[in-house]
Amino acid sequence: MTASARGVPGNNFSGRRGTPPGPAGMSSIAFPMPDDLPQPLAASLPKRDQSLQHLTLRAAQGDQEAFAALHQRLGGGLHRLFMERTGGRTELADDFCQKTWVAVWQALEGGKYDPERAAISTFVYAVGYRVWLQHMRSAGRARAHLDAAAPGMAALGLSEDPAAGSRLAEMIQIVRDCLSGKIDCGLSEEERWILRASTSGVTDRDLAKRLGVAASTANTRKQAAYDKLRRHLEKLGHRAELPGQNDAGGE
Amino acid sequence: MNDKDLSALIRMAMEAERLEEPAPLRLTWARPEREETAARLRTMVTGIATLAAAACLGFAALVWMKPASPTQPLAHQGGATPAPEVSEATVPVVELAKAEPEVGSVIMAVFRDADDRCSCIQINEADFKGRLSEVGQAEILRTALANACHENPRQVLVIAMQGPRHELPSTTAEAELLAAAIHEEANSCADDAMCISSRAVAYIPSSVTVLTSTMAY
Repeated sequence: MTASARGVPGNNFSGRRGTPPGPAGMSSIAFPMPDDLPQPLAASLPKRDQSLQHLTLRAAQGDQEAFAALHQRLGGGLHRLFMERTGGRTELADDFCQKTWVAVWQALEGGKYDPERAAISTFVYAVGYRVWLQHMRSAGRARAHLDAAAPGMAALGLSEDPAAGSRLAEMIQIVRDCLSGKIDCGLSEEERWILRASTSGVTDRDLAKRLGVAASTANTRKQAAYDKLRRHLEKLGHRAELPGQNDAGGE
Repeated sequence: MNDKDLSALIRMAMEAERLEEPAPLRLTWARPEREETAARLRTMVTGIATLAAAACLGFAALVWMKPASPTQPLAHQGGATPAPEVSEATVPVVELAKAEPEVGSVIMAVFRDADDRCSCIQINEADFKGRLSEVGQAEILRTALANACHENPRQVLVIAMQGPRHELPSTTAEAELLAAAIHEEANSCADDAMCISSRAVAYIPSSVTVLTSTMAY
């Protein structure tokens, strides 16, 4: 079997256990994921990233090595996210990462994470978001965030309800799956693109240019996409908690 | 749910997706000036899980072999630095070409004993002439096994890396992280060097060339 890696021409590979001593060949090639997960269990897991699923399953059963591997897989991305949110303040980002991972471990150990409701990356993200919001509150800036940004989401993030974190993760996962087309939310590919682009800061005028329509038409399509996503979330019982309001769809 | 909350949810979903993007191995908390942070983090996870003790580094020694530093150019000696002569003639402005990053090579060798335990990990900084792909296998393995930290291993996993020096592991902390990550992958790859290599690249910056090899005895 020949192989190629970054910048390296393929070479024959050998070197399995029991091969006579000697160089075993240079290698690199895409290889299938390990398949040591018991099949009935593997089949019952939601169809997400199998390797992360595998690690999460093991970590939830108290496997510390699996948790360490999860940390390695997702830690870099989490740290990068906190660096962006803190404007590059390394010590703060480190602190947030530590708090997040401790909380994630406690949730795994306490059976508070349900892989059916959210991927582990989404769960880690949701926990991290709450860590960050709690810092904002202690720094006296939560009110400004609540007022200026997304009051419902911020309230969910700050809620003392222990189930709020899981609920937030579930909502984020639903949106993730809608945006990637993994679940049918009634969104077309164009609408999924519109939602991503609009959230990334693309103006209605730029949307219109790229879609080749008038700005008003672009805005209409954008609103239609939002409505579809909103209806899908509400159909699943998710409405953002607003400060001082009871959520009919809450837990 | 208003549009602001929906937008926030969408943004969070996009950010959560990015969490799964492989980060370069040079994790910011593994840099030399943050070794204290790395140590603090490892202490925190000791009660939960130990990164460095991924069935290997907990009891294994990490041996770091560095070649002698090249001789630095002598600094100007004696007296004050002479002031440069300034010519009144017009000096043409020359735009200097952007300097290419200095390229280095690092060979990591993971030694496993007869009980299939990782007994030690050795890292050698190499001084190969030319590209890694042009360096002979024998030379890479010779470098990897020079002053081997294990006399009678059952298996040796060799990971050779070449790329910009700043992208290669340069501290013990970084090397431990890489070794732990790769060893974890190696465990699930059943000694298959191709599998290990394909997994290892996820932990290594894309500007670094990677070659892996296993030797079994």
